[in-house]
Amino acid sequence: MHSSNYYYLLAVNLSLLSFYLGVLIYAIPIPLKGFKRWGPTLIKDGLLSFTLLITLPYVLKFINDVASSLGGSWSYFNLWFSGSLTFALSGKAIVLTLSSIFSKVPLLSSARSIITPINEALNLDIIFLGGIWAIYYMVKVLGHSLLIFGILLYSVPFRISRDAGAWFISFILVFTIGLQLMPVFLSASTSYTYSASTSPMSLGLRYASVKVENAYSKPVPGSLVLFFIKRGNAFVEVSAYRANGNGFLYSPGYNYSDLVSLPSNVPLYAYLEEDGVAFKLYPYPIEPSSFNSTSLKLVAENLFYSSKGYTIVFSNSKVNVSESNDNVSITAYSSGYVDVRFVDGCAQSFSYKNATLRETHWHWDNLQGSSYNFTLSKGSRISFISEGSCSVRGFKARYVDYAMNFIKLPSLISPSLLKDIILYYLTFPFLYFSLLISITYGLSRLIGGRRGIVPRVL
Amino acid sequence: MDILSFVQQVTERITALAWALFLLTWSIGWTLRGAPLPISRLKRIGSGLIEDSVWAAFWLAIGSSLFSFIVYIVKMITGG
Repeated sequence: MHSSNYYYLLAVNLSLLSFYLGVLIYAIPIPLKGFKRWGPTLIKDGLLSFTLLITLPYVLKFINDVASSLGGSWSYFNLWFSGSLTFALSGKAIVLTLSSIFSKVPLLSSARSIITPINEALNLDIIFLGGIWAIYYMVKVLGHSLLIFGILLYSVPFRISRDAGAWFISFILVFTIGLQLMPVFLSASTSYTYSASTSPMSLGLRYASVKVENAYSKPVPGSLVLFFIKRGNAFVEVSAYRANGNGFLYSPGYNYSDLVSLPSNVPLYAYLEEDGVAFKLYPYPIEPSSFNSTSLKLVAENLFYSSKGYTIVFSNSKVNVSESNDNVSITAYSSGYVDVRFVDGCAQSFSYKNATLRETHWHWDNLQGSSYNFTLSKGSRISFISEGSCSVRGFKARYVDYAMNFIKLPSLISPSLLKDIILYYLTFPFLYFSLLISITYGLSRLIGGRRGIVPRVL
Repeated sequence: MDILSFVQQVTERITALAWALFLLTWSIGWTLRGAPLPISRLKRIGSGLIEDSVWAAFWLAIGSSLFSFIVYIVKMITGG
């Protein structure tokens, strides 16, 4: 069994072979026009497939970037898909239950005729979703191998399997972007609202890789990050995530390689919480325009030191915090205060100069520790040893996953529910799917240079 | 022998063969064109063969440079 690199190399070599076969035909001393015509054709094919081969990895990356910049992602697609499937299967269960009840109650058996069309629509929807899942599997899991296979077919000399190759290539390219954008298209096309109070459709949804850093651009591990939106003058919490060891936010119940779901159409206000203190995270607010890329960096400007053992140093004035091994030294440039918070046993050997100490205790979730608050004057120096190996257990973070919490089936109550559901789960997905097939056909014609293979959808 | 090395070997042989055929076609072309026979069709065939052989030599000569050029352009555009 060869790797995909092997087939890629094979495709490159086949395109070179096409080129040199074209040259050979040019050089053959047989003056037959029909035969000689293959010369320029093969040279052109060889160059074209070689160019395609070289650019394809970049095209694939570009297409994924386009999908994410338009608001699509595989996570969003998965969410939509699981919602659709839950809806279809629940509907089917209800319809079957009603149907069996009607069959047992005298005089009500005629009511079954009302249910039959709904049942058929749901059957069709389940089959359709099964098909979508198969395509998703092909594109997401087998996509790379199928693409290489397509290029291989495309590069075979004398255009033997060029059309089939073009079809494979365009299928993977179109559906990679198309499936990721499917929920975005559906949300834009329907006036579907999930709940009346906080309508996620108006808030939008997007997945981003978010990193939290302190003032020295170092990650803040283990912290809780809360996101709020503004409703009038009040803040409404939309999500709460936790930072991992590298400062990237994650949602344990719904983790897609460090991507977290957030509203995309409204300004967001982010706060970091650690040891019972909340820090504003900048940019504040996070404007929707900053979501153009999928990665976002949030900075806690007043937080100067943070360790895995929940030891933090923050201040209201400009201080310099330096670390060497586990030794942390703080130098003040102006008056103000600096606060060192740590879980009991995680920081020790405090020494300070030109500062006054006030010790308090704090509780955060079920962690508890001490807070050393130093009143500073210019030139104050404080140092302490932070236990690098200090492991804190028992912290139970509270998570609120935006996507899971706001876009779920139980909150589906709206006056035009049936109409919206039919549009959202049946009509528009069908329309969109046909659109993708047409685009695939068009693209395969473009790449193949001739008529493509006519697709048969149903 | 696996298929990859087979394809590479075939390509190499085809390249060598194409160079040899270029010389042959070019010579045949000039022979026909320069032959002291007043048959214009024959002379046209000779010219056609010379033209084809020159094109073949051109593509053979710039082939590898052209492929490197494509790679260069793609890298320039994509920043890879």
